[in-house]
Amino acid sequence: MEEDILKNMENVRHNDSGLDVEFLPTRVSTFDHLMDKRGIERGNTILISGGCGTGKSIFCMQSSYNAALNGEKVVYFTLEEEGHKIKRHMKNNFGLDIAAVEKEGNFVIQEVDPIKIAIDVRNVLLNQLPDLSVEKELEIIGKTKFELPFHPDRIVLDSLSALSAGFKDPESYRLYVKILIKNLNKYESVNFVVSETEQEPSRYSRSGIEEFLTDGVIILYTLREGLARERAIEIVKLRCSNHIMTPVPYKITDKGIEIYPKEDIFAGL
Amino acid sequence: MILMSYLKKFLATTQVMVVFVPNMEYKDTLVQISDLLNKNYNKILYVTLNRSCSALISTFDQNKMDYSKFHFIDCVAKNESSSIENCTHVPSPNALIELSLAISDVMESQKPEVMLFDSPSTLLIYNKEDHVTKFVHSLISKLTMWDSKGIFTVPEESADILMVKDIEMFVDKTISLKVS
Repeated sequence: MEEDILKNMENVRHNDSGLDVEFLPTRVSTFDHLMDKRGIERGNTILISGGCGTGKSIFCMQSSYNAALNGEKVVYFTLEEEGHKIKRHMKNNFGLDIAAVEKEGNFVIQEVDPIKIAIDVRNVLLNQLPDLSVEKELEIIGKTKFELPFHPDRIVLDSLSALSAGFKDPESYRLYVKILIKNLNKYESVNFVVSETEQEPSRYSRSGIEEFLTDGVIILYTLREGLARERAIEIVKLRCSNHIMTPVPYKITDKGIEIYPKEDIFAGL
Repeated sequence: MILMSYLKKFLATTQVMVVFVPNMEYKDTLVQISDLLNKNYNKILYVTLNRSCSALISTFDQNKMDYSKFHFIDCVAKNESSSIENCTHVPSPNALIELSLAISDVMESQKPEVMLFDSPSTLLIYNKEDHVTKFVHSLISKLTMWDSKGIFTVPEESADILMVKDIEMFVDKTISLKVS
């Protein structure tokens, strides 16, 4: 099935009026105005990183939902929260009716158990089959666990932190993540992988490797000034486009994330 | 009243100014400045960090002042101002981004001709000095963009604070409302 998906994708690209690259807008408030290309190139995987409660999942869900409304196909892998809870929270808090776009056939939420992945990976590393390389075997695990129901325009993996928590050994986690991200990039979709960090991160993922493997890093900060907390979003790295180099304020409203590119940040980061 | 005609003269030719007000007369002088603005402009934004919106309205009522031309941004009261129609509530004077967004929102939607800001020195109670300086600098830049006048009132005894001296560099004029 996956081979069919990749073949179809190649056809789409070859038929695409001579353009080799396509940029998909994130469709999250005014975020696209922070990038010269006003979107993210297909085949790119972007790390969405930030502390607890900064709105990483909201960012991904808002982007995915608006993309699905615009006819794109989205697969949202959740490794933490149950799918029905995500749908309820997104509808009640931000008015995103995920169930409706699911019915249209453009959106699928799939629950993945990170512990099962970690066990499978550990077994591969312990009992490597003689006729398969470790890399090939891990790729097979990735395909099995992150099975795609259709040819996706977007894939979200929420979150790598949940995945890393399943692994006892950081080495095998790093190896698996490397293969997973390589695998994601093959689909020519725009992919978001979520990672939880400290509130004021010195690195943008648990293991520190994800920011090197991905094509872009978007950080969501919570700034504390006295008793107040304020929020800022920053594109730290983006291979596919030039972008604004400063953090920009945002708020989480009843419509989801709202970004204010014209406003300044006053506290230091 | 002589002081107000002095202020009026400068307002006609100056876009952004810092006005030093003697501490003992601070509250009364703010009412007089508000009255002056009310008589000379059609739409005024009053950002208050020292007195709640309802306290200001009560004072205006006592002075028989029509405040329908005013929009208030209240960083003092926690909830009470939410029921007042021409008042935007900002949850805390710590929340500089929130305050900046509230000001931008009013300036862009209602296009007031003048903003009265009372007072940058109060922000120092809640925020680091360099953050307040950045905030005021950003606000002054935006006032130019919005083509609006700005009056930042500062108690006379805060005149020596480094942040106030920094702000003096950003504005067009600094005046002192003191009877010598």
